[in-house]
Amino acid sequence: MTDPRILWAQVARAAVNWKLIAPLLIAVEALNWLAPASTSTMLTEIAILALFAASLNLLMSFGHMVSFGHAAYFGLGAYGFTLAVVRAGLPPEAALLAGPMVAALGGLIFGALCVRLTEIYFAMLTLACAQITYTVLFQWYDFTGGDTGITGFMTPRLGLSEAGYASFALWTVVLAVLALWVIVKSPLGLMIRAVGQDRARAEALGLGARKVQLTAFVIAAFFAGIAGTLYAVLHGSAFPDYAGLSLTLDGLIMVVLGGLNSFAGGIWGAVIYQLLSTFVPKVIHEWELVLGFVLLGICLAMPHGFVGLLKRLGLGRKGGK
Amino acid sequence: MDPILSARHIRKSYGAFVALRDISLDIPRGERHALIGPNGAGKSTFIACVAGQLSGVEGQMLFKDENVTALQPAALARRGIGRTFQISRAFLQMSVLENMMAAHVIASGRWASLSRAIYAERAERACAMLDTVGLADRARDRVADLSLGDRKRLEFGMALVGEPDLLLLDEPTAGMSIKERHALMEMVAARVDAEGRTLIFVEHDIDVVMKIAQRVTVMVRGAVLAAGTPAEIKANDEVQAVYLGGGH
Amino acid sequence: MFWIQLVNGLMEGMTLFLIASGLTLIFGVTRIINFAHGSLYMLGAFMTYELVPLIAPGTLGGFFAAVLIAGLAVSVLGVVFEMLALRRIYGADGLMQLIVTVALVLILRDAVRMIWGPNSLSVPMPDPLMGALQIGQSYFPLFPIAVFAAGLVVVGAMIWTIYFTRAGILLRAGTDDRGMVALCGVNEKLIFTAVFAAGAFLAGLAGGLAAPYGEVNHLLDTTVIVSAFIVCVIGGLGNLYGALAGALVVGITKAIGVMYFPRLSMVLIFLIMALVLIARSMGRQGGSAR
Repeated sequence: MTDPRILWAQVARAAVNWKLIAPLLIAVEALNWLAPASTSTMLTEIAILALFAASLNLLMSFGHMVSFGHAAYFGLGAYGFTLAVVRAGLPPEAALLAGPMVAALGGLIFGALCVRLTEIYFAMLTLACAQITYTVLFQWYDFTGGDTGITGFMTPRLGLSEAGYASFALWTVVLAVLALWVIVKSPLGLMIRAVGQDRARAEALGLGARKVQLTAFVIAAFFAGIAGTLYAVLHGSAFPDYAGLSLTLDGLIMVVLGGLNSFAGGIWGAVIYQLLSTFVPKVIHEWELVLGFVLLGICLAMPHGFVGLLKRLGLGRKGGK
Repeated sequence: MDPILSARHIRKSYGAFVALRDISLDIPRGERHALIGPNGAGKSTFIACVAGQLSGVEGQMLFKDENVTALQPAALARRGIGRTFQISRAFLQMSVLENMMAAHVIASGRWASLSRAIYAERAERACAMLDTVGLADRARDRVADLSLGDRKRLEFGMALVGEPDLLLLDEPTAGMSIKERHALMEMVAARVDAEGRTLIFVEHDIDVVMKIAQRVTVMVRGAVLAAGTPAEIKANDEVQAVYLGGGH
Repeated sequence: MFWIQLVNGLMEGMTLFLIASGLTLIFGVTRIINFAHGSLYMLGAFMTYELVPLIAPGTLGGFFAAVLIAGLAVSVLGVVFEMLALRRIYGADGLMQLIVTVALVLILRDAVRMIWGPNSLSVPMPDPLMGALQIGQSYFPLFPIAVFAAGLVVVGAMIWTIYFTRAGILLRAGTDDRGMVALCGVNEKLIFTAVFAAGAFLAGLAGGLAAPYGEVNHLLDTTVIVSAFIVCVIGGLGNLYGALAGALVVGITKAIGVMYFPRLSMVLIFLIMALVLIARSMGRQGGSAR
C-alpha cells in the first residue's frame, strides 16, 4: 500500500512557487518606484484587473459557472466604498472594508437566485442581475449620482503618491490572490471543483450543491469587490460603467486569453490584456477589432490560452491547477 | 423482517411515456437484492427514484420507517442512501485520489472548511479504500484516463465512504470481462455483508445475479413481473419466456 | 398616453421577438448562444440607414424593401461567420463557443464605428406612416402599428415554414434529436448553416424595422442582446411560442412601466424574470438527473 502521507500531500499541495513569483514581484516594485507616475498607475490597474479576473476564474475554471455579470460585483465594491464615504460619512480608510462587504452581500442576493439554474440559464441570469445593478446605478440620481457618477469626494489614492498607492494595491492583490489560492486548495475548493464537474454525482454523495455554488459565488463577488474598491480609491470616483457589460466581457476575455482551467490563467490574461489595451490603441485605432480577431484566433487555434502555451514550452508548474 | 426500504405504488412518467407503473417493493435490512429485466424495463429509473433524482414521482417511499418521498438527493445521501451510476460519473478531471478525498470531505460534512487538516486525517482510510477497490497504484491518475471498469470500481469505493445503509449499484459491472464481474461483485458482497449494509443492484449477467443476489425482482416495461429467490426466478416460466429465454 | 405607450410596447415586443426567435432557433439546433445576435440587429439598422435613401425614399414599399435587403445582407454575413468560425467549434466547450461570438461582437462594433462613426444616426420614417390614427379621444401612432403588423406577417411565415415545409420538418427533427437528422441522410452542417442564416436574417430584419423609431448607433448591440436574453429566459430557450409571449411581456412592461416607474422599468422586468425562473426551478426540482 502506498504511503498515505505522500498521497495526501498530493491533494493538499498548495505550495506557492515563490522562486518564480518573488523575483517577479520585486521587479514590479522596482519598476513602480523608478518609472514615471503614469507607469505606476498602469501597474495599479493591471494588479486590480488581475484580481478581478482571478475572482471570475474561481467561478469559471473551478466551479464551471460561467458568469456573464461579474462586473456587477466590481461595481458594487466601488460604489459600496464610495457611498460609505459620501452617504454614511465614514472616513475613506474605514470605508475600504465596506466595498467588499457590499459586493459580497450583492453576490449573496443575486447568487441565491442564479445558483438555482445551470449552465446557459445561469449565465443569462447573472447577466440580467448585472444589468439591473448597472441600471440602478445609472438611474438612481439621488443616491448614486446617476450616469455622471460620483467624483471629487476624496483625495484620490488616499493621499498616497502614485507609486505609493501602486505598492499598496499590488500587495493587497497579492494577498487576495494568495487567499484565493488557499481556497482553491482547501476542502471547499475541492467541493467547488466537484460540483463544477458533476453536480449530480456530488449530490448523490450527500453534498448540497447549491450551497457550495452560492459560497463560491459570494467569495468571487467579495474578491471582485476588493478589486472594485481599489479601483474607486485609485481614481477617487465611481461610475456606473464599473458595473457595465464591457468590464464583464473584458474579464471573460482575460480568463480565456490566459487559459481556462488554470489558476494562473486569469492573472496572466489580465496582465496581457491590460498591456495590450494600453499600448495597442496608441498604434492601431481600432483596438477592439484587433482584439476580436485575436480572440477568434485563440479560440480556434489555441484553446488553452497563454498558460497552455507556457506549459507547452515547458515553463510553469506542471499540472498547476 | 423489517424492511429498510419500502416503496409503495411508485409511478413515474415522462409525458405520455410511463416509465414506472405502480411499483411496490420491500427490501429487508441486510439483503442483497438484484433488479433484472430487459432494457427499458425501468430499473435505472427506479434506482433514480430511490435516490431522489427525479421529480414528479408519484407514490410513497419509506426509508428506515421515515417518509422520504420528496427529499432531494443530497438529503437522501445523508440519511444513508449511496449510489453509483450506470454511466460512471466520477469527477473526470480530478485524480483518483482527489475523487476519494472529495467523497471523504462530503462524508465528514465539512464541505465549507478551509483547513486542509481533513486530508491528513482521512489519508489512511482513503488509501485503504483505494486498496480495497484495487486502484492504489492509480491514485495520481486522472479519472478521465481510467478504463470504464476502473471508474466503476472507484465509484463503488466513493459510495462506500459515506457508509450508506442502503447501497444502490446501477450496472456496476457493465463494460467488464466475465472474470472481473465476478471478482468485483464477490468483493462487493463480502464487503456489504461484513459491514451490515443492504444492497440493491441492477445487473444483466444472470450468472452474477444468481450467485450474488439473495432475492431478485424482475421488471418488464415499468412493472414488476416476478419477485423471489434466484431459484424461484429461474424456475418461473413467465420470466423464462420474456427475459431469461429471450435470447439474452 | 397609455395607448401610445401600449402600441410602442407592442412594437418593441415584436422586434424583441424577432431577435429572440433567431437566438432560440440557433440555440435549439446548434446549442450555441449567439452573443453577437444584438450586433446583427445593429448591423441591420445601419444597413437600412444606407438603403432607405436609395430605394424609392419616403414610400412604404421602399422602406420595407430596404429592410428586407438589409436582413438578407446580415444573413449573408451570418453565414460567412458560421462557416468560417462557428463550424469549427461545434461540440467544443460551451464557453469557447460563447467567446467566439463575443469576438464577433467586438469586431462588428469597431467595424461599425469605423464605417459610420460614433454618433447616433437617424433613419427617416416612410411618409405614409408618420402621424397617428385617432379613435375617439385616443391617438395610436401609425409606425409602431405597421411594424407590429409586419412582425405578425413574419411570425406567420415562420410558423408556416416550421410546420408545413420540408425545411421545417428537418428543423424540428434537428431540435429534438440531432443524430436522427444525420440518419435521415441530410447534411447536418447544411442545417446548422441554414438555421444561422435564418436567425441572422430575423435579427437584421428587426434592426431595420425598428431603425426609424430610435437612434441608430454602435451601442445598440449590448442593449438589445440583454433584452433578448431576458426574453429567452422568460420564454424558455428553444421554445418559439415562449419567446413570443416573453417578448410581448417584456416590451409592454417596459413601455407601460416607464409611465408609472420611470426609473424602475428595467427592475420591473428583472422581477418578472426572477419570478418566472424561480417558478420554473421549483417545477423541476432535482431535475439534474437527465
